[in-house]
Amino acid sequence: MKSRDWLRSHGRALVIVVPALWLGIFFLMPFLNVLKISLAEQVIAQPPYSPLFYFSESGDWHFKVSLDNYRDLFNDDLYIAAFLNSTRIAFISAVICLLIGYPMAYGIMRTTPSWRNPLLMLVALPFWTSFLLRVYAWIGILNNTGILNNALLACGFIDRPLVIMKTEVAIYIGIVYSYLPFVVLPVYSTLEKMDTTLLEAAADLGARPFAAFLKITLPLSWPGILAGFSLVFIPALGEFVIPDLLGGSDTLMLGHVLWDEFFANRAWPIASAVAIVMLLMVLGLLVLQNKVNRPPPQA
Amino acid sequence: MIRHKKHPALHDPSNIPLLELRCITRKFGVFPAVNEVSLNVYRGEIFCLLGGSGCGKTTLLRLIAGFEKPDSGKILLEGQELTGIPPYDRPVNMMFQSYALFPHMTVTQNVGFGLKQAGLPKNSLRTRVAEMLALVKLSEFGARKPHQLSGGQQQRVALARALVLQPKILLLDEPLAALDRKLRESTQAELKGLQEQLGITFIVVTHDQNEAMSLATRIGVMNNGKIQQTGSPREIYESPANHFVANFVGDVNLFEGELIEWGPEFFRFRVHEADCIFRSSAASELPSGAAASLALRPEKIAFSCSPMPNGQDNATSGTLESVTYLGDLSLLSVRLASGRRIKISRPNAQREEQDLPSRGQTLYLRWSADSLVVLPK
Repeated sequence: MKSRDWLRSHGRALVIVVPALWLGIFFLMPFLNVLKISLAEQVIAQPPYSPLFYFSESGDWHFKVSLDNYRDLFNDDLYIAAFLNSTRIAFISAVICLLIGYPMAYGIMRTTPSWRNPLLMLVALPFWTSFLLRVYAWIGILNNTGILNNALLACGFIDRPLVIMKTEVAIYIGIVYSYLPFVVLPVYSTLEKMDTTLLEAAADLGARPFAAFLKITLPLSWPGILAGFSLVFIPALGEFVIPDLLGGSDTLMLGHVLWDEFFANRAWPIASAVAIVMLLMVLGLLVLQNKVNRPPPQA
Repeated sequence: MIRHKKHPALHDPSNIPLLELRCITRKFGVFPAVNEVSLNVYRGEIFCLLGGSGCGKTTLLRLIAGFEKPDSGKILLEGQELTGIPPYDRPVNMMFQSYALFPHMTVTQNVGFGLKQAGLPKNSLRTRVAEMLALVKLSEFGARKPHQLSGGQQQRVALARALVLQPKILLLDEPLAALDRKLRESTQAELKGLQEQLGITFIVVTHDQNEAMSLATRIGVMNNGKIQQTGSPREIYESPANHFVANFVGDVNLFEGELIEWGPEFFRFRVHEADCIFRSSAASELPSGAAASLALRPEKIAFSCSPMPNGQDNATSGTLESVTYLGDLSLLSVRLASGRRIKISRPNAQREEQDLPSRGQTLYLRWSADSLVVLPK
């Protein structure tokens, strides 16, 4: 009897404890570790950073926090350029994804119900193949001697191969291709939830189909647009594989900088600082999104 | 036969109908939701389409609004063909059952939506919206969003939004279904008042016969995609055209009888179930021996506890089985010798219980010849 009472009063806490533990072990602790490293100094040692706490030879303990990494970050043009570049590429990619993904989601919503699930399956199908493999496949398509150039040359549209590989265009193609489903699915889910009688009401009140779309459908799918945007923008901000494989070696993006600092320069502290700043940027974006999406207060 | 006062518009042969449906059919797959419906609606009417769910009444309304295209037939508004015109160009407006208020817009924006689409200048738009909101008593709620309003208020916003465009016809799909009883009654009166004030023709779809009775100038009873009967509420109730209408509108006792004798002013039917002769003062042409259904409304049957001479027309007797007290009236169920049950209703004129007979008592029933309705088989 007693154990049942205990369960009744603590059951709620028990349910929450599992995900809380999970997040604590696999998210919070690594994050704190990265935070710690970002506040340390680079040293030539194993591991390559200074400890925050240490005991001096005299036996006193010392506590040393350094914000130098962050200062360096904001004083070095390389990092600032990488931040700006990443933000720009992520933003443009997200917008292109929306421009392609929204009409796709809208089209799927407007087909007959029996077609919707197969079409959604097709959108999600690429996920069944390795991401890396798919990006490699694009090299084969976009190369100077790749499928695209060969086809265009054969058709006589061009007389010299287009240089796409190792340019920003290739990065956009890679990101848009890889992240398109992340726009289609949330936009589709908001469109599907929309009451279609609203469109009939709009038509009844004199709105032509396009006006009804602009005044009713578009504003009501705003949450989906925002979710889709974030789902592309956030991973694209730190994207490493796509710029590394498709972009030139001179593409300056955060993921790349991070990789270089961490592995090539063994500058763990500054790499950690880059990671923390990125995280803050994403967090800011999520807070903003949350504010926009919050349901209006009830009367 | 009893003649009923008809709507004035129907008497005047020179009056052309405002809306004319000519043999409209709309099929979903092979199933005809609306089947060869022809219907005239006149200016200033409140026409109610009454029927159960799935009878095609909402489809008919959507055909008039333009959301559905008829497979065959024509829709004419003021003599002009409406059939190919899309909903956004039709001078009719609809109030949806779910209200379909735009959730991201305020009350003012909702009501102003149609005027804005029509390209009305801002100033006159604002005055017309304000006038309309005042008319439905929502002036203080202009800045609210739909979800901040009660059901009754939302209903009035939907009404205002459709009325502000001054449509030739306002279509109302179950306008009061979502409201509770008390509110429904007061809203019914408001709706009627508004219609008289604005002079806009209403076509109302409803499944609620009380609503149809109290709102309508004329009712069209629908079943299986067809209009079974159109007429004033009294015509529909007192002179149902067929079995379905008699059964659907109000309570009725239906008997199977065969014609045995007729004269200039009377028709006599033998009804085995009731073990008596039914005498009716009116019936359409029937051959001798023809079977007919005889409809008798519960409130048209008189009863007494004292015996009556046997063998009279329109009289029988049975045992009182149950009495159901409903406040304003009581329903009595009387079991005849054949086992057939008859429903009788009686207003509760007295507050005391004693004046009702008790269960098990033998009741002697009678009714007048002109309260019987003879329905063709």
